Amino acid sequence: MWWKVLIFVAMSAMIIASFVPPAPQQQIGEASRIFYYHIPQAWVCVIAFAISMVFSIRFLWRRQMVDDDRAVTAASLGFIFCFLATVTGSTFAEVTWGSFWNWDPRETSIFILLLIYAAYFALRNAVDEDQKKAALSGVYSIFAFLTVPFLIFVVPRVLPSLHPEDSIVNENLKFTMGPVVGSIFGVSLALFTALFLWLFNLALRVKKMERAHLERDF
Amino acid sequence: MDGNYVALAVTLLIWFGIFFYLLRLDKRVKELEKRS
Repeated sequence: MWWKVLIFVAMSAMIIASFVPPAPQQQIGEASRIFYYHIPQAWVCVIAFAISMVFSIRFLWRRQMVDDDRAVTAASLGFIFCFLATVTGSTFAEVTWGSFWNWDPRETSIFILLLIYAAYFALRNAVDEDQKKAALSGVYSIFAFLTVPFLIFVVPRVLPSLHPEDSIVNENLKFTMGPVVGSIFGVSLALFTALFLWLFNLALRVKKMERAHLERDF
Repeated sequence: MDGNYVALAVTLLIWFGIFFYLLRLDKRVKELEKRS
């Protein structure tokens, strides 16, 4: 219970801290405060998709349905956080670039990523038999994750983009954040990760009961 | 500056809603786990 109270207090404090001091990037203005939410969401999305790939490999290795449950749960949460990162990014785009959607390389690559993982869920729904569904989606999940570093880190840096590239590190890989901004950002990153782990644990416990219930019925 | 406080209040409200919903869900899942 103590860690839930800690998450509650720390997240509330982080939210207050993200709005009270001066905006993290003065040249962008108040809209740059979204950075405390947008980057941690994108970070959790990458972590979740990576976890999904790891458990997919484990399923293909051990053929135990519990690994498939973990893989699909992580992918679902990753999809939600990816969607949230798209929404916050789009809000930032409206304020700074004048339009919610500009087909900027960043926006296009995250949109493709959402489509790739939407296809993962479509594939799962198209197959009835559990083992076959888990095996097919497991293989798909591995290939889907291979596109993540390419779409999130490579494409937006290779193609010219409006997206700010020096929010965390500059081109010489030196930290660009001051101590206050860096601390709020670090705490936000840790809290979003903790929130993801809580959601992951909760969803897995529900899945476990669901599976036990189904096995009892048949 | 006032707009910031409105955004802060809305963000805090959303966070409280998510947190207490998750807390209630966690409690219910725990009860169901005990029962089964």
